[in-house]
Amino acid sequence: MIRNEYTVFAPSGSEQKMIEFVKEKLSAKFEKIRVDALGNLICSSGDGGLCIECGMDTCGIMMVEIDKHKSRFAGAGGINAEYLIDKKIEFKDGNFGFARYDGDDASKSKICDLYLEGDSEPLKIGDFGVVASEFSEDSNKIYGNSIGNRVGLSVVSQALEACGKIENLTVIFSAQKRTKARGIQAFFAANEFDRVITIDGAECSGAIKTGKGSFLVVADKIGTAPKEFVDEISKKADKNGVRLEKAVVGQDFCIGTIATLGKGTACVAIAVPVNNKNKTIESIEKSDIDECVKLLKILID
Amino acid sequence: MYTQNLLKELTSEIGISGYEYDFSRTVKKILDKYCEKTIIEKSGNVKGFLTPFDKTKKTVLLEAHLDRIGLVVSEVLDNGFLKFRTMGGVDERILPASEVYVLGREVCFGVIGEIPPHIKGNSDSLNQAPKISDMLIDTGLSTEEVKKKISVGVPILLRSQFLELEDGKISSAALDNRAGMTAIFECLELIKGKTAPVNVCVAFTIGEEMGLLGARTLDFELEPDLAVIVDVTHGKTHDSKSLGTFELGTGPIICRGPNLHYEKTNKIIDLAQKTEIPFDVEVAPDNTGTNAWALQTMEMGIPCALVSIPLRYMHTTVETVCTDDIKNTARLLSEIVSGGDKIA
Repeated sequence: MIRNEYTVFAPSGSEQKMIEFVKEKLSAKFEKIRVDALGNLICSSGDGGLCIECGMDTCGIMMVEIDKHKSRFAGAGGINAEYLIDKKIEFKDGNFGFARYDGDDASKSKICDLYLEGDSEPLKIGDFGVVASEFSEDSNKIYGNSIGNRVGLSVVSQALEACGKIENLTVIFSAQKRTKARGIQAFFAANEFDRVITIDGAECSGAIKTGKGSFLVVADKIGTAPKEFVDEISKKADKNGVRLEKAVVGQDFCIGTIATLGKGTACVAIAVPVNNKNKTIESIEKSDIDECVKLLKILID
Repeated sequence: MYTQNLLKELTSEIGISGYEYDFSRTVKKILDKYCEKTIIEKSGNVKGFLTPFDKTKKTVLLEAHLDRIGLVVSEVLDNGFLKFRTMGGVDERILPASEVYVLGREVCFGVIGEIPPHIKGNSDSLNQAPKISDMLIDTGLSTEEVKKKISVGVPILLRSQFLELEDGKISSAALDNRAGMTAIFECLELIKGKTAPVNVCVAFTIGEEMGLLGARTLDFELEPDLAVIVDVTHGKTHDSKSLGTFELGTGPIICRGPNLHYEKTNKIIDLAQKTEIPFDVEVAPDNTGTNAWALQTMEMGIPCALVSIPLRYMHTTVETVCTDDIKNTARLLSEIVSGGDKIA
């Protein structure tokens, strides 16, 4: 089941399959479930002073030119050319092809230099594709491509499943998080909350290391979390014996974006450490995921 | 002739980004012919509502930006010379030898000169396009007169001609986006007197060329179920890349990408096929660079579709479009608003 959370077809801008997957899994937990105009899936019960956000998309490609021999594509949601070379690209209806590069130096390749080898007949301009998912697990870790983009969704859905009927919470599974957080921008501009927690995978660097539980991001590239909110979460984690460390990261975790939309909201981010982020195969320690699920369950309850 | 005449009328108007107000009033007057209610917002955005709002119907917004690129005086120098900056993404390579109207207290003519190669000296600089910071407008006025007539912040219009080329092609400045505006007006002409199954509202917005400013501040009195943004895209030329450029005469170009609503865009493509309106599809995997980028995340998120008219030589004084593309875009828009719930 967890495997599905990491492998459902949901490139940035075409998240319908993930919406159906999450809806089926969580619809019994909430009073209301809806999809907004941008494609965000919003699950809510009660007034919802607290909101939890996680992205449901992953990076992908879009076909821009269909040709019998060399169909061309562009990146969707920030994907680099070198990563794509020789990867199997899958499309919504089960069609596939292989991303190829004829140049000598892959490190200098651009997405516009790549082409798709495979049967172009069923493809249309504008079709979305993703790198074929690879997912493995052993007793300690899960491994896969782009799992860092999905770990937030996985943690949130596991925490919600572990809770009873949800009484006073809004959860947004945001669309197009990998395309400049478009879903977040639309949703939080029009909806007010007292507090927002955003969850995502974080590259292991500096203080962020695997095996230490999850990390409470107190400041990211463009925003700072309010001290009271940070202290409140830290205390709850301490009290319940959940491993949680604080971190300041150089990446954009959407703290500033969410905090400054609408009339302003207190926002913190929770990060799950991801090894080899943006490499062919990323890995995440299961114990870190478990700690994060425990933390969220406490915060939701 | 409606298309040509309206296009000629609209391209002859100024409406440089940041200086749209007079043009907004002209646009309102044209829109008054089709709408039950029209409004000019404080920003200069012009809005029109075809009929009184019917709660039982969905709402479709047709949107095009009304501003055009131009220049602005940044410094008034002695002997009638002016330094200037761009308002919007003017293609700087076309500026030397351009003729301009400086829109000060009085309209003054000017030319953007360049030192002749005979006396320029350094051979390296001859192979480089001049930078805008090195260019000057020569008004021919005396020091005293230029300071009396022109001040810093005065807009400058690049002079251009409205040329009817062969095969229905038109060349002029400001076809970005007066072509899009014309398509919307032509759509209103097509549906005039008919009852649309949706509430139709129209918005002509300011400041697109300066960062989608008008779209960002547009006040949605009626929350649209679909916003169709009408703009221009790159037309194919003999020497252009094949990817991302489109033959004139094959439009409208319907865009697909995460900036646009997936299902509604597909419905529009199906509609174009069903009604035998010629079209092509372009792909924008990120920001479309149009007002769809701003509108998509406004209110509770507005489902957007982008329909573009192919245009050659974008952001120059010889932008070129094919009138058939404008007419077919208007036909597609009229089919969208006539399609009611099926599309919106």
